Amino acid sequence: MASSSPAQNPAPSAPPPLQRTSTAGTHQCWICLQSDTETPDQPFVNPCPCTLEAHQSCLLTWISESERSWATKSKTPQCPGCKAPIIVEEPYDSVLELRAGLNRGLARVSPYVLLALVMSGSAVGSGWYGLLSAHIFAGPEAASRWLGLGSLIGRTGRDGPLWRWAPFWTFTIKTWMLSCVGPGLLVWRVIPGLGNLLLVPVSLLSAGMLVARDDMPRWPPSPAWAATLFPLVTLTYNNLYYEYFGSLEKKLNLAIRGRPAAEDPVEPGQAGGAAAENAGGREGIDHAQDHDHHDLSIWTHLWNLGHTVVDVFRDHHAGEEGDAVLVDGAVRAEGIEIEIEMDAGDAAGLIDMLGDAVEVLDEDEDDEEQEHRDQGDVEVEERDVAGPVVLPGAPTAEPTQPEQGNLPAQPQVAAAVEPAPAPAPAPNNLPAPAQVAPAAPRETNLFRGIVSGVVLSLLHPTICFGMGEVLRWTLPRSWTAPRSWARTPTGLLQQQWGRSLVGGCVYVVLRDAFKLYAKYRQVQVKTNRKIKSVPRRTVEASS
Amino acid sequence: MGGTFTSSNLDQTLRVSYQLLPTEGTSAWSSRFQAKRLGKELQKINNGLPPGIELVKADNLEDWLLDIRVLDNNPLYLNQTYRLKFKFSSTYPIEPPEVTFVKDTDHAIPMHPHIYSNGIICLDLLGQQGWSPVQNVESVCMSLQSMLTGNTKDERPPGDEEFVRANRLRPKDIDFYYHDNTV
Repeated sequence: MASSSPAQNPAPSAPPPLQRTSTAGTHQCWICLQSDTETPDQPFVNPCPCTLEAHQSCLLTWISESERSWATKSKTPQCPGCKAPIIVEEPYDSVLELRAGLNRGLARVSPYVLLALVMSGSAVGSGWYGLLSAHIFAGPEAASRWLGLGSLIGRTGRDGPLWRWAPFWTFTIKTWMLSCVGPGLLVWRVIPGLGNLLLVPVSLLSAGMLVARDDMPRWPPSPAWAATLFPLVTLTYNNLYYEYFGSLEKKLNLAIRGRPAAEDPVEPGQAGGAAAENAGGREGIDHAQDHDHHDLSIWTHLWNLGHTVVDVFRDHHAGEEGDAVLVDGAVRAEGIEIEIEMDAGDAAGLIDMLGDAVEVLDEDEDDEEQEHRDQGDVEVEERDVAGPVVLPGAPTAEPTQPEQGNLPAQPQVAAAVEPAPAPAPAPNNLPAPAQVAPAAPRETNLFRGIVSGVVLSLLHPTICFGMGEVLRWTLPRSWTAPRSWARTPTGLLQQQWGRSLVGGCVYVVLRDAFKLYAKYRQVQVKTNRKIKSVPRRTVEASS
Repeated sequence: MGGTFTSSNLDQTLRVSYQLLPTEGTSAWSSRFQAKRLGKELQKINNGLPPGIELVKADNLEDWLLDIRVLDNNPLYLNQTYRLKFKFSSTYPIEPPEVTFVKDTDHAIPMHPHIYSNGIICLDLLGQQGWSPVQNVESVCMSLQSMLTGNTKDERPPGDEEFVRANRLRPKDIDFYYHDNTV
């Protein structure tokens, strides 16, 4: 560098040494500022149309150093003078190309692989759940026998290749069927009507196939026949329930919402008749007429079927409410979202359903607001109906004597005097046994409802088994124990799957009955609710 | 391109590849590179600088000091000389130099909405994004000179006090948001 003085001096001092038509000795790299005579072995390049030119190595260094910070702003190399893009050529390299291709392919395929992994994982999970349910429901031996595990274990080399061996396919198909149990239970809870509608044709088809195979129904039914007939049983039950208890439930729902029907509650036993309809409020009658005084056309029958479906929907959710009440051991105030669904079931059609739901939503909000407002000054108190069933004629004869004796006097005292800051809690002001807590946020209720619904659905086989065990220990032994002299069981209850099946039915019936009764009690409670008075903090009250 | 390597070709390829490798060699190579480039710049500076810009000290390859003056009668900077300190990393000119105003008994920090009171300058030219090797010490000085000349606001950047108190970053690591191109 020190030796470069005489020849190079003119170039840096004169401002532009960069000319396009430069001859040897006047090139200057805009990065390292060296001229081509100083660096004879470094090739110059002209990456852009302007006068700037640089050593190839300097440009490459600059680009590779700056690439990362450019990449964050999706910039590409460009000439700082004329902003023209600087194009970097790379030799074709098969290894790098292969790596890039592999990366591209992996990126394209990996979502599907992930999806397949998740799906196979959930398939395995639901298969496991199905096997577990079958073991609980029917007992380990029966489940293993049904699956053909015995022949699977006893397989020898003489049985030929696996894919041409019938027990393997039986096992696979049955495992697949079992893996549908979990999702099926969930679908059944969320849209029970769909499940029933789909299952009825299947069960008819299945019955036809059984008959064609000369497998006639007899008592006790074989598992195949039980499975075939069960959808018909549930459908019949739902229809009967709707027929006999539908209008009662509707009226109770109206009453719970504070509609006119609340003023004339009826006993559950008198349900379903025209008298009950007359007793209902105007709106109740309107709805009931929509339901009951219909033409007997095919479309009305279909319409009715739809209502049954919706009602089943309602039943299941209402069942949750019943269970929650059972768990808490106390009558809850109102489950808002559940009521909406119930009322949706009451409405005469989709539009009515929507309209009614919105209406109910509004009303419930009003109710809630009202309650919150009330709680500013007074507490809303709800008396638990602790005594025996209250007669409809005397709803006020409630076991609330200890407070009622004192309460009427206090408002008069309070009204007569000025409020004073002296705190004087009277002994009869102790917290009442059943006070309405402020309603929880709706989302929480909904979320809790969904979670407990899912759990209840998935626990259904276990519940069936538990009820079956209850049946086994409560019913006479001659019903539930297999006869020693009989080769095949002589009664449905002598096998575990039969007990579980019947136990499940008993559970559903009990649940519905409890739900209906709880609703009835809720109406009773609601007709007897009143505002709790608290004594004013006054001088005279304390003396 | 492939398949036709001559021995000199290969030698060239190997050398370039070696230079590009991010190893110990890179730093040694780039500091040689930086030394050559700074030597060239110094040579050019010694041959003359624009009016208002003076070299104070350039006796090593890390810190240089230059003084700048505003040439017109801008009342904010009238009869004032400001001292600039350039710090060069070994990767200069690939990376920008760190340029700050120096505050001592004879020199103040100029009042400007892009100059913090600790001397740190907010100028996109000096950031990673705005810098390119086509810039040099002289061009940076001229940019700062014109930045002062065009200014009429007697103020510091917003949040100056807090920045001066809290900042521990080197100027080139600060991610300035170049929001204002009017001053």
